[in-house]
Amino acid sequence: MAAVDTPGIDFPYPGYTNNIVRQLILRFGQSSARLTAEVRFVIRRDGSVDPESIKRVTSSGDYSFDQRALAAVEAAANANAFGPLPPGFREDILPVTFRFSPSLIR
Amino acid sequence: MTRSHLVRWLAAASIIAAGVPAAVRAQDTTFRGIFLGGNYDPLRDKVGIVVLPVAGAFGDSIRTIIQRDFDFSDRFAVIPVDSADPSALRAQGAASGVNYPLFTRLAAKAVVQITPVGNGLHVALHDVARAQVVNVGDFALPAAGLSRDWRMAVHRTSDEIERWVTGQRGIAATRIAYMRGQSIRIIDSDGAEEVTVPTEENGGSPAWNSAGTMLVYTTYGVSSSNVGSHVVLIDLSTGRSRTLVPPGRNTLYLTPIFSPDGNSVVYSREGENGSDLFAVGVGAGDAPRQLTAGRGTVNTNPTMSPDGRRVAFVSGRLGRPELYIMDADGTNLNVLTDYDFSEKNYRSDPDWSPDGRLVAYQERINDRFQIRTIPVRGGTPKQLTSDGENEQPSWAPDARHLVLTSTRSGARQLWVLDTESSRFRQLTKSAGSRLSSWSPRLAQP
Amino acid sequence: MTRTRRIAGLTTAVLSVVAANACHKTPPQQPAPVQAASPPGPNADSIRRAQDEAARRAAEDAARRRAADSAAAAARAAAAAGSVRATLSAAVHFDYDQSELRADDRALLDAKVPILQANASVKIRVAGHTDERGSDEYNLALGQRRAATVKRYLVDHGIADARIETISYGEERPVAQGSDETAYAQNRRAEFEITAGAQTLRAP
Repeated sequence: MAAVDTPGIDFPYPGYTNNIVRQLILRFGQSSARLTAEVRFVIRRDGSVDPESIKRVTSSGDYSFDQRALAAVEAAANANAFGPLPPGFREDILPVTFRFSPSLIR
Repeated sequence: MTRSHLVRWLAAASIIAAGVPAAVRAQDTTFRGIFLGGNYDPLRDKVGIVVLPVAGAFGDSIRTIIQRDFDFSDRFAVIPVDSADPSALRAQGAASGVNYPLFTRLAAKAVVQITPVGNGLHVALHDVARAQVVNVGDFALPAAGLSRDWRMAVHRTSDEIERWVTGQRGIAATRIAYMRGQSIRIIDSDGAEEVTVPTEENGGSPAWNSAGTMLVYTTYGVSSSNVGSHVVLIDLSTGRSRTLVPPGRNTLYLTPIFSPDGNSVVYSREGENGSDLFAVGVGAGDAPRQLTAGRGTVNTNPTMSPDGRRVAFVSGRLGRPELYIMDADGTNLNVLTDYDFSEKNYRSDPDWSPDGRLVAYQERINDRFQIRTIPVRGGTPKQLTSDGENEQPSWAPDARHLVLTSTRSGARQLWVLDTESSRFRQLTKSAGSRLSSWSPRLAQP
Repeated sequence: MTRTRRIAGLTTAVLSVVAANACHKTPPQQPAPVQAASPPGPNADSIRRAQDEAARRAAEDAARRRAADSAAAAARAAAAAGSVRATLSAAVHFDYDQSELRADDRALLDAKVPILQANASVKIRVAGHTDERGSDEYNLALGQRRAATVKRYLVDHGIADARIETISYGEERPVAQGSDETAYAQNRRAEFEITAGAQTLRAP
């Protein structure tokens, strides 16, 4: 589920990260495209997303695929889909880099 | 179910996600966040959770209700522990008293420890990987143990624990209003405590307001005291009701709903000149506004977007029932179900999802109704049912579960469907249950 | 949609060329945006079709009047036999998903007209019903449409509006149990209840 091969910060809240993955994949929708794009964004303590922080990090090479990935993050942000950060997490923000690879999705 | 979840979870944990070229990572030296991606499997990605045995007079009931709430949310794999030997659950000599190594072996990520205090509950949430408590909370309970209000307070506790773990509040503290026989009933989300709502004769089509405090419904036919069809509001806490739209000559009122802001009711009015949607303010004395010009065809079943700006509804204006969307003032009318045009189509009973993305509805397929969802922006509809006849979907506040009427077990019953894992759970046990409406999350009264 | 309206339409059809729909169904109501088709120009075919249509309607109306006359005569005989109430209460039936009246049902309504005309104090309540298929709430609306269609027919034949009340029970009150076409056909009906003047009913 989570790309764990990269050293990110310690965030042992699988329920919270499961929900992030689920909300973004639902909004991206189905696609058989063999493309991958990475988008970065920052979740604040109250669960809102800093709109300035939403950025494409790695392009898929396809403009509309990239736009779709950004739109999925924006839609989830507008819907407050992530919820407040877990109280046990000490930082006030959670930066997330999310990789959209729909051809891998069941 | 738990054993297979365990196997799936262990299998998933041993899978190494696809790597990203090292060159990309090298640029991220300043990134202090997490990397996510891959896929989402609603069955595999449930969080393993344990609820420790609860002491006290109602401890067993509390534990059962909360475990069931976690299970019914479809986001958790509830791991049973053998409560016959409570000492095994306590760590040897550790201050917090929880045997973390044991729970790690059981593949639990979270352990919920509940201690009755006075009339309330003190809850500690343990993170197994970090071997410590990461959350505590205190929850008041009504004095009358096992009462309807008491059960709802326990459900609120479950919902808050779910929010601690996933960031999203649960939906256990909700109820479903529906029709059974000639009455309107309300049942808790876990199927307990069916009560009958004191409504007028021939009352039907109940719908909740966003605060969860009122129902609106209509009556059909004519009552034994010769009163014709009208629209009624009922306050569930006081039981007091008032007529919102009085009977008219040869007029039938149907399918009323509250607007999301609670200020108006949108309903269908079948008059002598046609069937149309109207909106009326809930304050006394507001004049109804006509929203559709159906020109003699049937227009019913309004459902509003969560921002209150648009309305989806059923219209027979093409010669058969299809779904339409318009702005809340009646302008910008467009057909929503414009795929697969055929004389035999029958699409009705739409319900707009609380996250605004989808409309769920029923469609006649091979002579039986099935439930489908369609993205509001247009796109391919998705069929969710195939067993028996399935109708009248109503979304839960999580925009993930639906309650619907199904004949899959023989008689018409209400069933809850998790649209992600396709799990079906029977909600009602008494035959003839139908026309359900899922409440919002119910706040403490 | 009722056949009486077509007498007016008859004249229009003969005098003008019907552009898009030469058939007798009401054109579907299209919501905006509408794809407009360009209307065909006048030609001999259209005029001939209109004339055929007019002739067909005239023949049908003549047949209907004959049926009505014989139904009225039957009504008089039945009334003489003491079944005025039975004629007035007889239900009419409908096709699936439809609220239009079929020919034999119109004859049944034609038989009620003279009874209502002869009994000015009689008031009736028409209740629309449906079979169990279809959506519960849409069926309530459809039942109301059926009752309204029946009422409009009677009012078009001279019965005062205030004497006829309409209600609907949708699929909630079937007369026939069962999930087959026999039961369905019996349940798709409009029923008649005498709500005033029942005691003094007399034959027309």
